[in-house]
Amino acid sequence: MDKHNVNSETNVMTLDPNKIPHVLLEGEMGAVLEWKLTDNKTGKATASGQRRAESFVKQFPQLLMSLFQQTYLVGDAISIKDTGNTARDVRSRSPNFGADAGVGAVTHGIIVGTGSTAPTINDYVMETPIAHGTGAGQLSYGAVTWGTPAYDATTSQFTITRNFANSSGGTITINEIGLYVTAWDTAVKYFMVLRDKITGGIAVPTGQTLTVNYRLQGVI
Amino acid sequence: MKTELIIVRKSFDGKILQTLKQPSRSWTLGFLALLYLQSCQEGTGFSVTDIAGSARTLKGVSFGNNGNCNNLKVASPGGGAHNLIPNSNNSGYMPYAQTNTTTIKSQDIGIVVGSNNTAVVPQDNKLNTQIAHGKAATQLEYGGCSIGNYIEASPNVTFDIVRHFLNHSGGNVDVNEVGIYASGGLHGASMAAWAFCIARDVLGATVTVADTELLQVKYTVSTTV
Repeated sequence: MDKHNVNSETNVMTLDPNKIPHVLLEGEMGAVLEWKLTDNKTGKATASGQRRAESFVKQFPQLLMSLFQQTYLVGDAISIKDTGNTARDVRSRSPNFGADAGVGAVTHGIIVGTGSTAPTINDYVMETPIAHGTGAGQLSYGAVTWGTPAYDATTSQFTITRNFANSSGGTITINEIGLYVTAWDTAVKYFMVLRDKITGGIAVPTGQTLTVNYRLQGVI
Repeated sequence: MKTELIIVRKSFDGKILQTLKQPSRSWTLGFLALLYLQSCQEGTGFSVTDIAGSARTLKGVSFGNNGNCNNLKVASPGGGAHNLIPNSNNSGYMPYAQTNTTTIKSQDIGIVVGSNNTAVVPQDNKLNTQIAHGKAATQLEYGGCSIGNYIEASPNVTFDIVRHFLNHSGGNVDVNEVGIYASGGLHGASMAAWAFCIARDVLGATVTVADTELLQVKYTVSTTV
């Protein structure tokens, strides 16, 4: 079977950060998106899924170019649109490509939303991001964590993980998942590099926690 | 993200003699490791093997927002020049307030070429047999490595990484492998930077570069929604 067509949900009840799934094509640099729902009382997984992340948006290659060039000066900077729809002159500094969001931070890291419009290469922000909190329609964002770089015979990867706990009192359906990162333009700014539409949505009942993995991979 | 590798061999007067196109298959562990350092803003150190085979402890953050570990620098000067890797101080503004600078040879950053055709594995930390910069037998003169030609044509975005190699060795030079080397750093008080292999490809056929001929190696990186 053509690996390119593998995008349906499969049973991956354990989101081991060191596991290396194989859903990308040979020669591809991309990401695998995984999720799992866990009942907070029992600790048992109630649902899970896995697919290739399909939607690196244009800020990803732009930030990659910025890293490859290591431009320091304003005149050399690459103009990249941030999540506030402002073009930023990104220059080389420590924060570039950082996804290290702490508890409750919705500025960067893995972000979830309810928007269901199909992604385009020009997307710069989630359609309808879900706010952090315990009120109606809100989720409690955990801190972003990582699985360190690992490899097998064909694939190199590292894993970005975030938990989203639902204490809102109602079910929240996730229709989009994305990744925001930091970069520097006289101060830290925020940029969306990935946005995936979740066809059919992921219903997160109150009292359950959604765990999302993005595994960035290179396949030989 | 997909990458195409395009090799063009030209005569001394610019005539195209051979073109070889193939999918690049080989973003290696080094690429993911350097991207990881930036993603998690590694502050305590993570070990990555450099092109000399030495384990180097690298960081993703240096002096908070003022610094830069220079991870993933691919652009490079050519010839016998060195890449200057600047460091900043804690109150500084890159690159003006740099406290010191380390260097990496031009042939150790950017696109590189080699003569060996051993199959690629993810953990390749260098080309198997890199062709050195120079005019001696079996050597090629390295031009600068540039990143550019950014094109948006929805739903695609592409950009190129390009380097030229000139044969003044007096004989033929066989190229069987190409790759990309990038910088990785441990900056701040312990200023240092080294070179790491982030991609390696074995060519579908040997490209023989005769004396006076020019070799252009281009990676076209494309992203599609």
